[in-house]
Amino acid sequence: MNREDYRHYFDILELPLESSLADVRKAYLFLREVYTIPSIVTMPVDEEISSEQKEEIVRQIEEAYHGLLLLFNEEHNTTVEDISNIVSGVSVFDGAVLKQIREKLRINLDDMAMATRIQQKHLVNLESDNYEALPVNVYTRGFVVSYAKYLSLDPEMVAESYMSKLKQRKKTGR
Amino acid sequence: MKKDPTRKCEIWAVGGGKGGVGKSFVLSSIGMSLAQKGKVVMVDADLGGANLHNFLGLSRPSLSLTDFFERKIMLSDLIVDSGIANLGLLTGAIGSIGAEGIKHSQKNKFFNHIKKLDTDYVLIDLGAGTHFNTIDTFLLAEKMIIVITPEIISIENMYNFLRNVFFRRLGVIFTEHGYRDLIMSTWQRRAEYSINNFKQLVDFLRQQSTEIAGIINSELSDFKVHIILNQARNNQDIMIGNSVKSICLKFFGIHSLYSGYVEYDELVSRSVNQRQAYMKAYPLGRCAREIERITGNLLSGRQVSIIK
Repeated sequence: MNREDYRHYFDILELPLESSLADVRKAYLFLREVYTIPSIVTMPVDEEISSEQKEEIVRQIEEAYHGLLLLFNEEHNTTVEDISNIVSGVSVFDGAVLKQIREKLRINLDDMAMATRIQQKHLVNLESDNYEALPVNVYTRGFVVSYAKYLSLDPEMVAESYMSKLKQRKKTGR
Repeated sequence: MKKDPTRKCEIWAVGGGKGGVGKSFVLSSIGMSLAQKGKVVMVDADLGGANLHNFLGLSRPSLSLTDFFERKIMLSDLIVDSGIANLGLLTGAIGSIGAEGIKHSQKNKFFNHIKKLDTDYVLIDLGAGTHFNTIDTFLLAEKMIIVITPEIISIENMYNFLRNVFFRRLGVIFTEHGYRDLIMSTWQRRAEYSINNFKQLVDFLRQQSTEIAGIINSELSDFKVHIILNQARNNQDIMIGNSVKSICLKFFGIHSLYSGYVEYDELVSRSVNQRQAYMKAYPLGRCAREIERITGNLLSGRQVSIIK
């Protein structure tokens, strides 16, 4: 499968052809928000286009994202599920869930460590819920926030969830 | 825009419609950063209210562009020493003439002399507003830079400025192809053609002929502005640059590059009031590092990516 055939979708998401799945997801979530939630950026041009045209932009963004998921499936010969479906089914964001989402997005720990500037051993401990080996809570929380941001998850929600499980485990001594 | 072979220097211009967004601060700081890489002349083309010297920590120079327009003194003789190596300043003038007071022939002469300045970079600071003399000066630049702040009025003015700039550019090209006043006459009859906005006007013009459509498409693909966001206070503010870039593309079909942001720092206004150049007074400050990054991005074409 040639990426050139998907250029139209990359253009809609305003991305270069060589973008990764994580880039695609980030751009999709960002653009969807820009064109569905009124802001100081869109209000001054409200008169510029009709609501039908605006809906059409959102529809194209959705179509491009889902079209590109298919491309990544073919390239990797496996199925990338829509991460939103996984996320909505999660009750607690512990290490195992975070690792699962990271792997679904095909992000490796090297890239993650470089982008978040968190040592890889901490990331491993985070994902294996190895609470004793993690630093004090305030640092660990910061790690979870950076981790979640990198996966384009809601950092506050994920950190809240992760830390409450951690605190409970530490209190009860497992 | 297109490179003129007789031109010696590369011109960068900063505009943006609204006053008080930090155009002069951003331009002067970029100028100081760029002066480490080559010879720079900064031009304060805010003819009605020149103030660039303040950002360099200088008092008002006695020579100004007024001497060029009224006494016909050579531009190169009006450049004053900025106190920074490799950086010269050509200042505007308070009160004597505004952008609207410049005649067509004077403007052309001014542009020709700017292009022939013996320097690597000319950085032009424009006044607020959308007078056609301001816009023509903006269009002279290879790098057209717009400064915005995370405020609705600044963003609204930026869109307005950008539309004006693009139509001015298109108007010149149309005239060259024998379609003088096409944009104006179409716009005057907009009710009849049910044209309400920029996109509809562009689409209507495109339908007139394949030649016109070809001109518009080629101009849209050549036209590129650089966006700099000033006074960001958080990540959400920083992302406004990404959003504005997307709106310009999806609503107007205009390409832009989000070249960088500068975080809010009260030391900026303090250093101006103390007649100190921020980049000199706080070379290790956060804004100074952000300015260095913006200068690098403007040179290389790199952009700020989505950080969320």
